[in-house]
Amino acid sequence: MFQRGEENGVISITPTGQKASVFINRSSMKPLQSTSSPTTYEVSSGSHQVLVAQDNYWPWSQQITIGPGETIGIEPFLIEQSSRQVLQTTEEIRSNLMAARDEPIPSQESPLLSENEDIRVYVDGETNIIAQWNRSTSTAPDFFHCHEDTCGVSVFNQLSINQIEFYPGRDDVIFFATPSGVFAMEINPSGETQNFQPVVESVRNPSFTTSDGNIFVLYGDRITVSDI
Amino acid sequence: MYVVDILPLAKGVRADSLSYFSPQSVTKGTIVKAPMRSRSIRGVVHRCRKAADMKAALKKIPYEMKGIDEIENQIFFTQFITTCQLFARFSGVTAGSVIAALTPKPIITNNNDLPQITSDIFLPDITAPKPKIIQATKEQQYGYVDSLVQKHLKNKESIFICTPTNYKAKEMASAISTETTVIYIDSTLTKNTLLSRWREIVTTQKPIVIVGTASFLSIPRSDLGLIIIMDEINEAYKMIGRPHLDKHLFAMEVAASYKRDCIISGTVLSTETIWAYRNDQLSAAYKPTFRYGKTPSGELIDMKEITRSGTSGVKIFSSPVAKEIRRTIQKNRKMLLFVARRGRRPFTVCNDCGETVTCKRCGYPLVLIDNESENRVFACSTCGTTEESLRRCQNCQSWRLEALGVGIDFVADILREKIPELAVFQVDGSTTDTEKKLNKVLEEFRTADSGILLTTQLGVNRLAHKIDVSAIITADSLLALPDLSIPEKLFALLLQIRELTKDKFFIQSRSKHTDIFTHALNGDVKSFYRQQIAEREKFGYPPFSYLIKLTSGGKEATVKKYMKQVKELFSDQKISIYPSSSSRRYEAHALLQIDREKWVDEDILEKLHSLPLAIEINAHPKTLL
Repeated sequence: MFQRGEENGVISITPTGQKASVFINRSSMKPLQSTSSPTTYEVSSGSHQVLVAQDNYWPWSQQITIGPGETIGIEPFLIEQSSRQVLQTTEEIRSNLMAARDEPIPSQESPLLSENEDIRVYVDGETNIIAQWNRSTSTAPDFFHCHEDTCGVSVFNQLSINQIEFYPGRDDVIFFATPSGVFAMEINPSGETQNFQPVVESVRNPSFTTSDGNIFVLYGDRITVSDI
Repeated sequence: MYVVDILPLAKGVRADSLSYFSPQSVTKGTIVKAPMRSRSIRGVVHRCRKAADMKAALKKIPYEMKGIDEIENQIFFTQFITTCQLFARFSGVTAGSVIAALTPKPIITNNNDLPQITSDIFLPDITAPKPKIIQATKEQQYGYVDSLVQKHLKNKESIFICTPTNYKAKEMASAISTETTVIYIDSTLTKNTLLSRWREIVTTQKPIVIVGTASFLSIPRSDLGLIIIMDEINEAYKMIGRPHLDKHLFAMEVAASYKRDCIISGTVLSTETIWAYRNDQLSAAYKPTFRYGKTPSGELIDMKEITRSGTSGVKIFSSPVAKEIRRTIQKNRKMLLFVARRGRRPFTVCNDCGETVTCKRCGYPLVLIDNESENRVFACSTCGTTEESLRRCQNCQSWRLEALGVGIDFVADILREKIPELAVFQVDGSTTDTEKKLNKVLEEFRTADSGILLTTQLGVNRLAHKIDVSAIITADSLLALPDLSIPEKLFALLLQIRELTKDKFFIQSRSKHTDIFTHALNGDVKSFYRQQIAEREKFGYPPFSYLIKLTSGGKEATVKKYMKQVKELFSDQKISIYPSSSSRRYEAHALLQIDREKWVDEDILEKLHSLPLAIEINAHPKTLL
């Protein structure tokens, strides 16, 4: 337990759902105000591991360093561990999934832009996902590497990429499809943990689309859905 | 099923790339184990393709493709592998040999204990920045480097300071401002410390300063913003053994390939670097110094005149130097006496055929020394080989060998005999052959009220404080070696001693070619370069060409056969073949002089790769001997 005082800091966690539990340094924590949103937790200054967990969802974790009196906001994302098969879906989702199969992969010349237009993402070669800051260099997050007027970072360079989309409403998390799965990933690769969670795995050439807090995945003639 | 192409890291494999089946896709930069004849070798994946897409090609291969044994860890950036491939082409060797030579063995063998790399270094969409130079005194260089480090850290970028030796890495690490996170890494660390430093470098989140030798440029640090190459002309950058890489050029290649800033620093930079600067291929980080300050006062003493006018025997000390030696006691002063060679007599020649007794391993002249049991042995100051002194001339088998020249032990004996009350602190590769002994002698000299530091280059490199007077007792033997980089090395050494000296700097010489000494006494770098560039242009040497030296050793008939084949193979190139008489075994070199604009040339590269393993390839050699 931490003593409240000036030496402490506050971790502010943006909604994780009613059933999610927050563990700080492996201990379950009670928020300062359980009804507020985002929920806030008081911690001593220094380095802490934050883990957000919910039954049937992949856990999310992050190492943070907080100074005295400082408030750090974090926004976890939780992906369901097992997707459900959908027998029938709207024509719009089906056509989006079909279209996604033929969509060109974002390239440096034709990148994918986040909703707030801060970040563009593209694939360099076949495997290297690059995120580039789309505005003036001074405001780029710390994990972007700036050279002359270009700020960017290699997000992931492990698998062949077939499709990329931003997580709805966010510019710090992406979904991407490889020849054998669909994954969600934070674009910040510099922390001790880069949260990387599978939506579906061990399938052939999947495509995906997001709609109303769900991600739909098409592989073969099968469609699955997961909450996000 | 996939087909992975790997760059073999094992010795004795001439193939640039080997292909294997893999049940899963493997990322470029991953270390794998694969069968190779009867053994299992490690390699780094540089390409992975779906076997289904290569059906036609796979049917045509005349051998049975084997499966990979084990997929290990990905510890390198894929861009690092690309860099090694580019540098391998520039050096005429295989990419696998470059990775193996430039990554410490414990890192390769324990790769599974290191953090896996899942992303790559970000390559901005810009032309690689032009490298910059710093040519200044050592003190100024450290100041400039520290300020560049702070600037890049402020810009949230990490810095790699590349040093030629482990000692220089330690020295440099202690010169950086204390509030900065400096992580020092070199190959003298124990395996566990080395692995833990690697992990620390990879996982530390805030920008850091890495100080280490070129072997650690492979560490994947995505916020790297600057590579600083210290002491550019230091010969330790050039590998003596295969694959004969020039590590300072590799550091430049890494910076260019990552599109990061690069600084080349030194008191005296190489002729090639200054030529590139003059031709606008490099720029200056700070205004380079081409003329160092007027102090200390200098005097060049012609020892031939002194010997001629003397009574008998070889004169070791000129009158001004002898006077200064005596004054060290009278005036409580400290003096540095430099002797180029260790041992008693640096050269031994055959009185019958005139052949110099040389090292059987590396070909440099052997030095007669007194070893610990007071027996006289021949020692090679280049590769450390020792041989019994009872040997015959390797050319005519005569016993009539005569020791000549002046070595440091000879000078020490005379000093102790003539002025017994003088405190003489001797530093050289034989007397102070361990770090502990070396530090002890240097510390004793530092704390003494007065005395003489009698030293070879070893003590000059390690001296950390100024002395009152310096004298070069003999350095002519260095000039006697007709080699490419000798003038630069000697000039840098002389300037280093000059920088350490407060009042007076004497150079004694018997050589006819004293320009280099005059330029050093005056701190005149500009005139030195002008002369160097003119001479190199006259002979078409670098920077006016690229040189590739091919060496074969063994039975005379075999070597001659190889050299004949080499000559025929490169008949369309400018090539000269000459024997290297300095070895026990017969050895010959073929020197290819290639137009600067034509390198890297696919045709030449292919021919180099077709050469048998018995022929060593040394691209951009420092020595032609």
